[in-house]
Amino acid sequence: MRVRSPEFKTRAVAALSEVDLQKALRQGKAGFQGKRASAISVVPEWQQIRSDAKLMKDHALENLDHYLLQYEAAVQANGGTVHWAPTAVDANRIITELCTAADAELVVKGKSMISEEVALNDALEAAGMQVVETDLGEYIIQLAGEPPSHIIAPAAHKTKEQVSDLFEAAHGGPRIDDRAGLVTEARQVLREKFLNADIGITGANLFVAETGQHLLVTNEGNGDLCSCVPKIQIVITSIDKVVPTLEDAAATIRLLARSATGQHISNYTSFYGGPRGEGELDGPEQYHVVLLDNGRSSMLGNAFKDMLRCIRCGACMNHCPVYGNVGGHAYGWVYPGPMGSVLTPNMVGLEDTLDLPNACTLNGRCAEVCPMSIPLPDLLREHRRLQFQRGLGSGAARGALAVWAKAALRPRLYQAMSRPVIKTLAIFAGKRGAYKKLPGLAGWTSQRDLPAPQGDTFMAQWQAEQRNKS
Amino acid sequence: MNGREQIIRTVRRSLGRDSGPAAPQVAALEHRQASRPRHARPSVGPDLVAQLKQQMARVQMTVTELNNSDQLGSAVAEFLQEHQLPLAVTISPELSDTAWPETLEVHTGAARAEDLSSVTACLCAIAETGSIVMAASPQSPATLRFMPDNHMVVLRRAQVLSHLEEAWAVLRAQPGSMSRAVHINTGPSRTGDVEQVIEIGAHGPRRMHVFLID
Repeated sequence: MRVRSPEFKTRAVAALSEVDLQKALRQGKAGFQGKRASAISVVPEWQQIRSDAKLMKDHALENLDHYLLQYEAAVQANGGTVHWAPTAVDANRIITELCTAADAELVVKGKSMISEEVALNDALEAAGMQVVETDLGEYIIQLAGEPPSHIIAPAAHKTKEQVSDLFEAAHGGPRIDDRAGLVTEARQVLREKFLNADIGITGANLFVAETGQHLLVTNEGNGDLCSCVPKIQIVITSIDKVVPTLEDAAATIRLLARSATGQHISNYTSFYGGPRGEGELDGPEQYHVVLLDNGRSSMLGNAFKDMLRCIRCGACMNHCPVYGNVGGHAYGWVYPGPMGSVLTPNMVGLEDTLDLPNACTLNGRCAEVCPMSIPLPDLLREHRRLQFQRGLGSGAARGALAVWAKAALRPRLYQAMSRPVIKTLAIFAGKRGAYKKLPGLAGWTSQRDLPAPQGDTFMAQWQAEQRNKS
Repeated sequence: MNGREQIIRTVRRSLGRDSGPAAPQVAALEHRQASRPRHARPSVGPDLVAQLKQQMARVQMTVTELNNSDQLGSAVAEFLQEHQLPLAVTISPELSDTAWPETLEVHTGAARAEDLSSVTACLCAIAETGSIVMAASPQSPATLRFMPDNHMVVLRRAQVLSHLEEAWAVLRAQPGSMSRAVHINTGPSRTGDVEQVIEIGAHGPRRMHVFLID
């Protein structure tokens, strides 16, 4: 997928005036936040469940090589095959070869962010296969020719009318206007695909070293039809998703559904671990797992290690004021919102993603709601630090920062320079206490008022206070 | 160097090692796994069946309580009549000993494209979440829980457990090994992908009904 993150600013501005998008974002935000809050309010043990899961995942990552090799051995014992893909290109090559070897014509897919990350559909289509997304949201955006705008609700940006338009064009009408009718039509169209598919490809929410199983969570049941009906099952996942035992999987399951959709558990929480056994009447004849690295093994050793705990619930973006206003497409790649702004620079490079870590108010809500306690604002700040260190970003901003840093290291000079400015701003603001416009600050004041300083500098007020006390 | 070696080598370099964990650490990891780490869980009330039923109602699962398994056949027929469905079911082989009414057309095996209704047994149920746990085997084909519009499940009161972890214990105690496929299903299929409004019956069953037997 083409990286459009360098266009963040222009696309964000455009998003603010898209009426349908703004309507969809408002609906989505209220729904996600409310459902999560009410699901957590009935679990007094929430913080303990959260901290246990964090410790568990840190343990798994500290011993990642051990658990990956144990997992591979367990899958082999179950009769399946593990394929290792250091890069996106490797993953696409491996899966294309598996499909070609099976003479596959039709591939059905469950929603997988990893397959979006490697742009698997493009690779399979280039090899002449028909690829059909079966998660309703993914199916909608596949018809629209768009990338997902949210990691768990890929079509969160589409209104019902837009879905009606897409279905009418793709299915040949008649036009259906009601939601239930649209769902039924997709069910009928896609059921044919499940029954005729040669291969089913899904992602995995995690995989278990102890048993060699992967976990697949859906609410529609499409992932299970992909996994149970076609003759060949292929799973694409990434190395960070290993957990040691089924007990550790349960700890993650508890956090995932509540954080994502506010459910106590997802409708279909399924563990798969190999091809059909002797005497079984259904199930795939082949079971393949592709383990993608794509930079994660390096992140394990740098400042972004904590990001590898992410379970892709989407809570951070559901509570982010920036995501809530500009939507997922503005971010310009696969992963949007706070988790995306941490991951994307790691995967596509700092140079093409300069705006992402800066499009953040550092209000900290993402870290508060993150079930795996990932310090997202700290990681975004780390990207900003790296940008500065490597001399990236606008010259004006860097110059201003350098001047500020020099002054800030000299307290007397800093006081002498800042105090007159602050006092003047306080006096001219008058009773209003804020500025609607200021020369040179249009970037700020075009969207909101600039609050005026309160009379004098903090240092001056503090010293006055101390004098009064003594 | 193949992909596997490349990934494992980078992982180890990031962890500050040249090789796998040292022997004492491996022993500690094996001990952790064998001792089944215990993580915090939501508390579950003393009446497991009551909590199960409450959680099932939250997710639009329906329940019929039966005094004994002799009533199962007629209860299935009644459910089909109540929903104006054809009197035909596909059952999993594990239920083939059931006495089915003569009016009911019964097929045993995996799901066929045309099947509207299925009846299966289950491994256990989870009060914590209102879930039914099923393990795939020659006696229990997985497609029966996903393809038909109506999925009926036979559950005994003694099979109701508190948490997911108790289900793992049942699975591990199964003859042979862990099942190839374990399904934890919690209510009929649903989607919120059109404007975040929940619609029932996306790809899997539109109805999930439990016969709870004493």
